[in-house]
Amino acid sequence: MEIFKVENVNFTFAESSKRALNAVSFTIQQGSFAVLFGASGSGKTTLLQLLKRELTPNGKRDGEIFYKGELLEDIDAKTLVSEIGFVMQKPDDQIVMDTVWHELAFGLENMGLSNAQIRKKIAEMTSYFGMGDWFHKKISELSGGQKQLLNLASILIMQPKVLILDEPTSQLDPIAATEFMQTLHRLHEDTGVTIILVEHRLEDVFQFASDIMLIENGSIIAQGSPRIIGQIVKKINEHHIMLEALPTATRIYYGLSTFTNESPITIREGMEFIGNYKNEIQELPRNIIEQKIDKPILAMKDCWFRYGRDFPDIVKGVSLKIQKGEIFCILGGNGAGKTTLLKLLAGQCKPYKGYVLLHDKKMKKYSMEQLYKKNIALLPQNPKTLFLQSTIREDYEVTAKLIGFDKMEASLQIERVMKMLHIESLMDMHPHSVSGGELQKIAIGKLLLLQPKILLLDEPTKGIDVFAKKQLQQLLQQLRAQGMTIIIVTHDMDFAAEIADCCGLYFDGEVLAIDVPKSFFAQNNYYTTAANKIARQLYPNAVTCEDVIELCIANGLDKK
Amino acid sequence: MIQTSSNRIRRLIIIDTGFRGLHPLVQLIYYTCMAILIMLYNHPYFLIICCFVLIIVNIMLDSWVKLLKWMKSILFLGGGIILLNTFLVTKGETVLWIIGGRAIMLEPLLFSFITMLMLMAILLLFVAFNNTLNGQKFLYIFSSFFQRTAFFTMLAMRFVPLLKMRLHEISDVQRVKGLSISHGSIKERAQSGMLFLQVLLTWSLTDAIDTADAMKARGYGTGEISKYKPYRFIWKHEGIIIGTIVSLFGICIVGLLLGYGRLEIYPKYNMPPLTLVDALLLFCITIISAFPLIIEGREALKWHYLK
Amino acid sequence: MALFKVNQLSFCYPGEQPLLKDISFTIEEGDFVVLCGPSGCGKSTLLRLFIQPIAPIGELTGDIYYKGQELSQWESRTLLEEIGFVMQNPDNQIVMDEVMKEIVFALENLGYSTFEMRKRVAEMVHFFGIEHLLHKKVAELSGGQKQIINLLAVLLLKPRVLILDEPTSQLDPIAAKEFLSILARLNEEFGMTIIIVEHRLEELFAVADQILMMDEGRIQITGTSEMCIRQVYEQQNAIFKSYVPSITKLFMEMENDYSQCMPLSVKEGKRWLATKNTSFISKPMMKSVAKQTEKELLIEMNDVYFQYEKKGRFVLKGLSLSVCKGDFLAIVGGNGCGKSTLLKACIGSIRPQRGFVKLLGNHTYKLHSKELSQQLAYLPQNPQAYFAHTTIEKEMQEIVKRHQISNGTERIEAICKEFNISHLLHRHPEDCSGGEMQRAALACILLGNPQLIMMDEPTKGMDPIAKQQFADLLQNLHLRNTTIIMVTHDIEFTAKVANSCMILFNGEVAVQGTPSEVFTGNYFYTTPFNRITRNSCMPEMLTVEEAFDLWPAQVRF
Repeated sequence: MEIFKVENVNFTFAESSKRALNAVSFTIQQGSFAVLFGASGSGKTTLLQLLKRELTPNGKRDGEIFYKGELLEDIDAKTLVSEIGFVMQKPDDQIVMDTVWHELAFGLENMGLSNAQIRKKIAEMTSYFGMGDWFHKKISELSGGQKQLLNLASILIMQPKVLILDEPTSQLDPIAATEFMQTLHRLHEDTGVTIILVEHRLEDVFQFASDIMLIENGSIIAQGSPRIIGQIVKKINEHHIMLEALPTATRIYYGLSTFTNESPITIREGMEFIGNYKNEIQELPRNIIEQKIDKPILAMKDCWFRYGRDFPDIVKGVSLKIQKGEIFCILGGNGAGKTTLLKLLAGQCKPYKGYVLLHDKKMKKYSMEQLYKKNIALLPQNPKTLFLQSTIREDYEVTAKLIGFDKMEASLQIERVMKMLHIESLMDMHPHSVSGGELQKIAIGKLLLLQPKILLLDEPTKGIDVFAKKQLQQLLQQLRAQGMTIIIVTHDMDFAAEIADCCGLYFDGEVLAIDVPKSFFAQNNYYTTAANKIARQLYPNAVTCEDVIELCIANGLDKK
Repeated sequence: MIQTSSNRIRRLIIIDTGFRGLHPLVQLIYYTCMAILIMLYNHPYFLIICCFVLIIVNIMLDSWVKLLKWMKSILFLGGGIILLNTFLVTKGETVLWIIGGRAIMLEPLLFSFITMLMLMAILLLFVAFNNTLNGQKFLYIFSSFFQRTAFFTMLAMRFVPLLKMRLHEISDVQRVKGLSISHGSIKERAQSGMLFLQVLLTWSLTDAIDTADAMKARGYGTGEISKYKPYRFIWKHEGIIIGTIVSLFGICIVGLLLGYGRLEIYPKYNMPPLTLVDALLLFCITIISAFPLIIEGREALKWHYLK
Repeated sequence: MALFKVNQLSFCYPGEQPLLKDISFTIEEGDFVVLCGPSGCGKSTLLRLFIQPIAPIGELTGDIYYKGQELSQWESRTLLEEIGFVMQNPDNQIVMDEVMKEIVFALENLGYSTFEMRKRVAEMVHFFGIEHLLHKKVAELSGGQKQIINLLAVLLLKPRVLILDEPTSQLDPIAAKEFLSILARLNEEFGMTIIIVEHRLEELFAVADQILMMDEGRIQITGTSEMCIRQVYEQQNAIFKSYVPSITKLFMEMENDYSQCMPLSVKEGKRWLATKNTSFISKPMMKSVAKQTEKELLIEMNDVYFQYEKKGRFVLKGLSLSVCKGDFLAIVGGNGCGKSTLLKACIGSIRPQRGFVKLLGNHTYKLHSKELSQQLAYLPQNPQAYFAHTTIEKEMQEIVKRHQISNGTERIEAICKEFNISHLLHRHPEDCSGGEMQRAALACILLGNPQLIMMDEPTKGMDPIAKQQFADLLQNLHLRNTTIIMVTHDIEFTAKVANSCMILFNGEVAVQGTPSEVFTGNYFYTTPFNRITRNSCMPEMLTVEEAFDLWPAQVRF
């Protein structure tokens, strides 16, 4: 049975003239697991919000949306509330109560259930989600992953028929994200609830999904099952950027030739597929980077740090050397550790033991001005905090003045930055109204105005789509070519594998295993990229998707 | 966010700062040296200074609550010793008072007073020891020297809570069978108790076979064992501290051997006047006992400046 | 090349009957292999033969090849690192008192440096997300967490094969699910070969690549899940039928059109049912019988509040419960809901801070153990806690003496026959298998003819056939008007035997009623079969047997 049927829907926002959605048509069968993906700003969230009446934004809508055969407008509010559930991106935005118990009971109380019924349902949900350990806690004490699970539970407790989720894992770390996805999958299997999910991270999701849809510029340009969606996208554009969003196994498959069979989507299937290739050549002749002279631009010597006398040590005796002009990635770990490390490198925090050397001079000998003008710049996890003015242009101008440019010089610099980042169209917008990937670009732009020699980025790939990630990658490589040193703290292994010159693993206050990406990932069994997991048996040193594809092509098929 | 979680953290973990944060071996050396000095020196001036400093150390380590509990019993005990000794012992030569026909001598009074001081100092040291060098760290030091013993101790620490839990289960089950250690005649209770232990033994021995298998399957006994070192020992840092303590200790011992620091009580009380050497030794002993305070003070200064 | 190749393997302990007879099979790399069979068929022995240091000693003929070379010719260190082993009981495998020390134990034994150890732990932590467990003491962990630590300790050696002997049988359902999902991930993402022995196969049939069904020392059936099930039904093998998932049972018995895809999981089951479109007569739900006042009240709990420590949280909060003569009450609930505390209150080990617990009108904590033993019987989770003598016979004789039972010897004989343990009388209880010990303990308890029996997780680790026999036993007892209170996690078993159930949550009673009242419509406290039949053409049912009853009324499609 069709649970949702969308026919020829156009949608324009109230104050805008451009169409957000353009002739969108699709159906969703009951019990299916549909995944929607696309670049930022392509209309995914808008489309989802149209399906839930309470969240539909103001604007003009053409076309029809049917829910279980009836027009959405004609169905009564109570049914809609209980039958369609919506989980948003930011865990904190949805929670209203202060304890877990109350949050779970909230929806049921609104539906008017009796106390005994509420108690039974809560007992159920808590057990199903394995929340027994943290059930008694206050909301403020929960982690992001737990909050998001709580959101899911409090919606599920009303036993909806459809679950709509808008990028639920984008703000979560990889472990919490995987746990969330597995719970979602289990939910789908056990209850048969229909799921409509928007995601960037397709690696985990593809194996569970039944339908995939690609949305671009407000229209759905590709639709199909997980195993053939790649083909469909390829037909539209052989090198479509969104092909990079597909799981690694699928990318390797399509990278190797124009196969027309069903593609592998899990790591295991990828492994089986690769097994058809020979493995005589293990290393590719690449441009060997000349051994850099050991002249670090930034170094930490036995640094220890904690936030106060009575707090635990966060950084315990870390020694690091970062060479000039290299991209250094710090991976792993949860909690405040990596961010604190970055702050130490940026000079925002002072270690109580040990010291940081910048250009071979101890950091404490620098004044604030020397440090932050044309020297070091730090991009925080939440770039919104950088902006104070009401338009981006104003903000840039203020920054340029701060650094001491005159009017001529300022506009030249701003032009240069705009061109480099392709943000001309955003200059007159309010900083808070741009999307994730764009926000990042304008934040980097602001930092670039300060003409830093060292750029520090804290989780730059959180919640941004493949296209923006690619642009960020190119930008960083461009900056490196210009001689900038870049230090990145991230969870994203694939990103690190592509871009880093050197990687380090942060654990329990120390940075371990500092090495080039190839050896860094190859020596790990469990903490490694998907491409490495797929190709491990044949090419243990292959770390990125491209590595694997190149090695397969170089080796050729194994004629067994 | 930091503020609220900080309060939580403060309640949850004993943070290893200052003296507690030192390598366990360093702490052990401190305690050993202090213990030896207290037992060998019996001049009241030295002992009084030790006690005084150690009380401050304990206050700093936040263990004065425990201390108060002990103090009551020690003062009581000490008072009892002094009284008994003074009234019962008649050795010595200097007479203070005569009460009811018995001569109260100075020597026994002084001796018991000094003994009490010594006991108090040892107790203070022990309370501080208990607070800072917990079982884990102590075991860690010993595992470097006595690997097997340390290993068995760790095994014991693992199994004691488990065995306690099992014993509870057994007594619950057997209670319903009619056997109990809280009701019945003494003989019955004793028999039941023995039975419980027997069941526990059988159960645990049977399960221990699995444990042995699990150990073998993970390579126990196949060869050279390495050790996981959770504490870092940096010679430059820890070495200086150890060197300081040991040299001060050395000075004090030399002083003792030369005859200073001890008071002659029997047969006749004789207090020689304090010499310069005495003053030096007094100074050294003060420094050694105040060692934790020095470390903490240094930390406090450092944090003050960092602000 | 096959990873493992077993060739005509036979084994017997010295001086005993042959245990393994002529076993041959191969295991490919990256396979998820499930080994199943009734207790005593030789599964554990077979598994242990793969692990050299703990291989049982006896007469062994035939060979085991690992990667083409005989097992005995491999260097022991390589084997230790490449083959990992996890056992059933989480507590028995842990040696150290702190988590960190425990997981690096294996690395210490093999002489790795602290640096290497920290690196490996760092990796592991980032993959499994167990950073919060690392600094805890082992005594603070739950059973499920302990088993995960055991798995981690083995994984730190970076093995290629994992061999697991009933790893989830001592765990509650949530922990079991979590553990199995980790295994599935390891197999899926790292190509780790997994050989697992399990009794609860509802979830595993869908995941497995190869199933080995063993009985009486031989591999009777082997192949993929589908192949095995078809063979089981062709041979009409009653023993292995009990291992088949409930929905597949329904499919195999009722479906004519075998070309359809065999449903092995809940999802596939729903899909299969969706292709059927017949209407069924709804089965009347068993309703709670109104309490007749003549029924004797055995246990009464009224508004009980209990906390273990003065400032601790309340484990029981205002719990009220009454059990009458002849009831069969099952109490279910997650970890920490207060189930074991409730039992303790009923047998008087603890005294509630508020409210009372009365057994036949007397406060339980006041009762002397002698009175207690006359009125009720308690079968513990660990039968090992029960036996106090060197043979089962001695134990029984002791009971006869204590309860002053007339015709003691005849009673013992009769009960042993009923429970099928006559051959075990002269054995030491610890020499029996888990299931046998369970039965023997129950037999001992019933010698005294108690009117009230309390059981704590009686079906833990039982294979399906033993469970069925146990269910029959219990139903017999119930018919003879014995009152039974059972604390359990096993919803399916409860649905079969109990006539009244209760879900305990957060120290209170969340819901109480008959099994069908309580368990239908739930997400979690329900059987897999129920999940499949919900929202389908069939009325909601808890067990396959109910479906069998209903089906013949319709035309076979």
